[in-house]
Amino acid sequence: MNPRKRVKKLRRLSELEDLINKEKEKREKETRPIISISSGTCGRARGSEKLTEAFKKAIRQENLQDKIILKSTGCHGFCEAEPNVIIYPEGIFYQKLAPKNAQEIIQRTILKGEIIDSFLYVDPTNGQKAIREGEISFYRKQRRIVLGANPLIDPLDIYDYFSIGGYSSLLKTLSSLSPEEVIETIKKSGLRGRGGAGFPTGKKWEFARAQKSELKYIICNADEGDPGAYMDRSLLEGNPHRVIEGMIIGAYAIGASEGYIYVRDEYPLAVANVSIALEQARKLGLLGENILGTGFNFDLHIAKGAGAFVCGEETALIASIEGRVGEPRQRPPYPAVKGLWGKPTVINNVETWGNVPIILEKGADWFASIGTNGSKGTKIFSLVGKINNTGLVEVPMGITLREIIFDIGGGIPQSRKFKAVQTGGPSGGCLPEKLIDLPIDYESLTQAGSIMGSGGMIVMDDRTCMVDVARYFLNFLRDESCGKCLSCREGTQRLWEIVTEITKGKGTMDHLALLEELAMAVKDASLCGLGQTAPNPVLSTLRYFRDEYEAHIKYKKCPALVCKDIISSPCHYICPIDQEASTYIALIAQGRFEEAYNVILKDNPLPSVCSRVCHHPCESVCRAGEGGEPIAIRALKRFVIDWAREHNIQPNIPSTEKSRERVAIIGAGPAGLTAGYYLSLRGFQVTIFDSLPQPGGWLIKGIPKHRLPRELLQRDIDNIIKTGIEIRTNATLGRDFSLADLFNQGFKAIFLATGAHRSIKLGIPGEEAEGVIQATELLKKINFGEKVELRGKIAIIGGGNAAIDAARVAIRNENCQKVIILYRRTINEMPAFKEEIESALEEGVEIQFLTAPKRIIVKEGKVIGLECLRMKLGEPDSSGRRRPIPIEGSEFIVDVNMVIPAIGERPDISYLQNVDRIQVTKEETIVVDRESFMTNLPGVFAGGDVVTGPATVVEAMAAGKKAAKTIEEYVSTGKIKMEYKLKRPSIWVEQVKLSEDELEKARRPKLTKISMKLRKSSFKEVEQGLSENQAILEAKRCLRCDLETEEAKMAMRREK
Amino acid sequence: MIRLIMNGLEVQAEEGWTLLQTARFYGLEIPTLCYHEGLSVFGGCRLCLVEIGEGSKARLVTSCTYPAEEGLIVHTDTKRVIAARRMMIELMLSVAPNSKTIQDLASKFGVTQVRFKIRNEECILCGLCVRMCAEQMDGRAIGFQNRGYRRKISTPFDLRSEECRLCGGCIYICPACQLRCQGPEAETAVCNACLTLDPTCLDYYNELQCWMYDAGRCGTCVREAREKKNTSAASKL
Amino acid sequence: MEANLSLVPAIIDKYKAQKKALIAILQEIQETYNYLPEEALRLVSKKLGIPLIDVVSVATFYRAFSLKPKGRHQITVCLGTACHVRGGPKVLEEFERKLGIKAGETTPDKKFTLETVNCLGCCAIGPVVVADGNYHAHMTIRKVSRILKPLSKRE
Repeated sequence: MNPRKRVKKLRRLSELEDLINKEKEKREKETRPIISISSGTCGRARGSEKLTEAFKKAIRQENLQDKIILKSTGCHGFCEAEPNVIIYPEGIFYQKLAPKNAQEIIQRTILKGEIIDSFLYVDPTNGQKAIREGEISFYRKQRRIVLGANPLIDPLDIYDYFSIGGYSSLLKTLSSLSPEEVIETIKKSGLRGRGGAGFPTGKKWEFARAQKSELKYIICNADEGDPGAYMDRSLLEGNPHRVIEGMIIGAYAIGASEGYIYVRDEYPLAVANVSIALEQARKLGLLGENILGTGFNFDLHIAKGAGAFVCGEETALIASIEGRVGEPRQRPPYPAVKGLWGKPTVINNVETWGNVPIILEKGADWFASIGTNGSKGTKIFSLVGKINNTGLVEVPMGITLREIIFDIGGGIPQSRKFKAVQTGGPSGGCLPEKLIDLPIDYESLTQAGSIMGSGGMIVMDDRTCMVDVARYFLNFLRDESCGKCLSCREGTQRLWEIVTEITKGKGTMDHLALLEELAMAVKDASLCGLGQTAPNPVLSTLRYFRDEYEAHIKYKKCPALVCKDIISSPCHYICPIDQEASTYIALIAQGRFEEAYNVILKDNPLPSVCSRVCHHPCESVCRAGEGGEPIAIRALKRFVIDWAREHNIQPNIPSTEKSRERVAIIGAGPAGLTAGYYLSLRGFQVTIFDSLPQPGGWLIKGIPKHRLPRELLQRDIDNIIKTGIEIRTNATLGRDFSLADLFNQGFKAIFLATGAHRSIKLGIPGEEAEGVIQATELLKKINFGEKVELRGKIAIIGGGNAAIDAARVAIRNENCQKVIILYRRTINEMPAFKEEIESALEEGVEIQFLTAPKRIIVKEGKVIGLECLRMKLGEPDSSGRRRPIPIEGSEFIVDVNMVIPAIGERPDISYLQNVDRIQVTKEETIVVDRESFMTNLPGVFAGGDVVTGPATVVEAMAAGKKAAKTIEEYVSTGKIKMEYKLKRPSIWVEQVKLSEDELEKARRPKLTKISMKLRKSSFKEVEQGLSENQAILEAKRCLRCDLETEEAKMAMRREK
Repeated sequence: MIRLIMNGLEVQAEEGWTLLQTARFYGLEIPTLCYHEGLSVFGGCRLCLVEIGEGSKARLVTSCTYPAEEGLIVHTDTKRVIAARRMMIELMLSVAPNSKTIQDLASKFGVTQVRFKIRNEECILCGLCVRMCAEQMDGRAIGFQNRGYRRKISTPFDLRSEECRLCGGCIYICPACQLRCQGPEAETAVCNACLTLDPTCLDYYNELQCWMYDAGRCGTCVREAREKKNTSAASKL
Repeated sequence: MEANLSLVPAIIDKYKAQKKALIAILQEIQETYNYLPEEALRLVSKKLGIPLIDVVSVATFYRAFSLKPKGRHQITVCLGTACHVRGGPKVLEEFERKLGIKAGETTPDKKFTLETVNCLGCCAIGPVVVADGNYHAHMTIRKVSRILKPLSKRE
């Protein structure tokens, strides 16, 4: 509003009517373009003020001062897109702007009418650009009856509010409706309190109206203390007059002469904008005495909160306005009967007041037509957390969670899995994935164990720990409790203590029972809403995520990798064979390489193998990788192994007396070798049988030499044999001997670790022709140096590691002209290791995505071509990946001379044919107990790929390592007792830190590869190792998460 | 007169009576701690809870603050009430395990374990001392400070208060620190021993040896008897 | 160090020494002095006719008030649910580590006060840190030193 304008107080209703009409007409006739800049608190935090300044400058430069209207408005709602502008009248939406973009917008869009592509919103699911607000997926399903006005008006200008028809409802009310009629309208509309409890607003007003009192008050509750909820702030900042208008109408209906807007002090901009709005309203005579000549007196003041969540509760809020501590009191008497200073008081939430003018304008029936039976109208939700489109969402009641999270919210960032959504703030609960189709309204949320609350909606993914979430809310509540009731004050404190113990891995199952018992007592015994709903986060997470609590308690695991005292360092935590990566990295940083070597050997009998081919799950959870690059852990391990080899450091293999029972292991692959190693160290007499002429399993049969040099494999195997194991090669179970034979020979336990080496057939015509070789067969022949016919153009079907291995092996063959991999999905779904795919492409392998074979074209018994179909991706299947759907009529032919199926492998368990009762699956894997690895036959254990299907080297090793323990227990005691411990480093090593500057510049080192010529012509190892300097620098980059636990801190203090 | 139904009994209350006053008038026992006839009501200890209403609308309220209402249905000892009461006592024990008053309540209502970490604060924030100082002694030297788990009772700025006249009213009225348990299992969180003291102090002395009457002598009898016989005289429940 | 209390009577008079304006008066004193000096509270108690203990009750109940002087630079880390889920606690720990104090405390040289807040309403850009009134969006551990460096150099 132009401060120089002389404001004339409106003294009659007709004067207001004229003013509104005048402003409306002005707006309708406006031809100049309007640039509306989203400038709420978070817009400003993103630089909207600088953007506004830049626009002003650009406008001045082009001399367009009176030709363009620049408006700094309240929040437009799409916070993810801030800073954003909307250009009217077209409604063009430009997002994520920087101040320097202002000039371009003025010059191109305003002056020339051009749309600037780079500023448009792009839909992440289909790549489409949207020009107008209504085209953006975020806005499409919304119904912004309350927030929709924000982009249209300058909140500091009451005349702008008039121009969109503002205060027409007040006019209508004072001109033609009695207070009772107003209350009837609100009752009929079905409006329910938007602050959380959902009490019918009309009813509340009716109670208050019925009270006989000279003085009555109305209050707007803008305390909005729920963390994650900020819709009230947005409404007060962006459209304060809407709320004021609603309150004046309400005061009239109830008979109140004074009102308060209680705003929390953490909202300085809202306080400022509301103050200015009140001043303007007062100056124009919309507040004060004898409003518009009707004899109705009403004035509105601001009361500021002072930082207490409990003051969102009605009676505590009243106490705060009265200048006292925010302690709730008992109800009855309800505030509508006896409230502020003992007088009848109506307290409503900001959003509730904001709905009043629209209901009066468009009618109760219109409002009641939106929403569900029990919950009418819209609700504003703040959609935050792990969500792509963060922002304020206004939707009709009854919309489902799925629509909000996926259609409007755009799903979870980084394609992570949706886990839960917290609604209702600290008084609410977490709703799990299985409730995703729940229609949102007051009743359905309460039934599901949560509440609507003020509308905060916090989305969580698989990296959010629900136990940690419960702990977070309890911490919040024990601090915010007013402290009067023993049940709430002491109860929340004790609930917090117990949940904290659970997050530290010190929880017991008794704790869970105690949590529930205490939670019920706190709920029942507390005086006010805070205490009564305080247990909700705990109760709802226990209800839907009990298994997560049990994982923390029974297995000492935090599946979301959050609870620090359980996780210690994520690399150590996630390693299937418990390698202490953080410890050996710490030793490398200190130059103590030999000690690092021993730490590796302690848990890993195949260290050279792992240093080359492990799929490093540790790196995928490395904390340095969050917003940066993970530590090159496998490369560091390799450095230590190579260093030890170069310096002739021999592993210290204890030779123990083999005084215990005999154990037979079938399969000398990673699982079998590892099990054998640990059993042998424990004194068992181990014999490993393998059908191949050499031990190694898939390591020697399947993995190509350019990835795993055979000298290294042999070195590891030799060290394992040195512990005193007997390996019998060329011995096939089922053909040369049976399980019964083994038991008869005196073996007390058998470990089946025969892997999964049988390629799955494609099942298409022509597969029997000459020129079709299964990938596993091809790899075996090449790895064992047998003759194999490779010629011309080779098509490999599949997207896993076997396919890539086969491709890279084929392209090294001089007779091979071209190698194409055909995969039926896209690169995002391809299961092979990303580094392997990259190397294959470097070596000239071609990959065609979304392609599947239909039939092999055979001529005279030989392969001459492959008929293929193009695919497209549909809905996800049971694996969670999008299902490939053939596109009708898209057949095409590829000229090939050979076809290599590599679509997956299965175990070959024909040796179990005569073992009737053993349990197997239809995928031909052996069924075992998850923790003991025992099959349903006593004494017969199994592990590795023969149980899981094709997996990874280290997972097979882990099975072998764990099975060795359970086999030992079974043989010694006949019983298997599982014990779970927290993972901790075996020694505490001081951290060697990088300086601030070094940290800024340090980057994850890239491993060098041998020349392309050498790569394509031999099976020499492709990747090279790190130098000593590189290794030490990278090791220093490690954040040393293992030093973050309480134990670590105590240990380091002691050592100082 | 206000008519309401308590434990199935139709009772009549005067205008302005609370449920607690009504119950006491009719001889129905409801335990209290922070309630005192001579002081204003507070409703903080949550011991005097009763269940009002029926079915899904039934809820628990403190009887010391809730006014008698026409037609109200009240139950003083339902499952919900007892469970809540027991938990309140358990919570109190965990912060003031040495209080005889609270130990007695534990025995009476069957609280036999404390599953929380003991804090030994000797204060359950019932506010009796605050109200005593303000209302009976007109001192206003102490009051509540902070909120939530940090709440405490103290003088302004934790300094010697000018308003304090050393009358001792706060110590007199405090249920936690006044009767300190000196029984044979005094170190444990809950002992319940004093209910079954055998022999009692009256077997040795001519009058009751309680803290209030004669500072430092409570439990003396048992200690002396034990020292005499060299065997444990009291049995634990 | 005695605070200069000359501004307090004016604040009290502005609200006509009304009992119900206690919180508003305390808020203004807090804003003026950056904390609530003991003597100011005694003066408020006297002028408003509210027992000192009740004034202290109110002053210690609400988080907006501080009885201890704050540092010259104020760092506030948002620990709202959205910021928590996005890694806010790690950012707080880094500040605690770098400044050597815990949340709610002030460094011995009175330079920095580190505080947490339960939601600033800027959830879209979380984790959020406010340093001397400036909002910092999408905080990470690495950005912590970038914020502290220039403030440390300043007085």
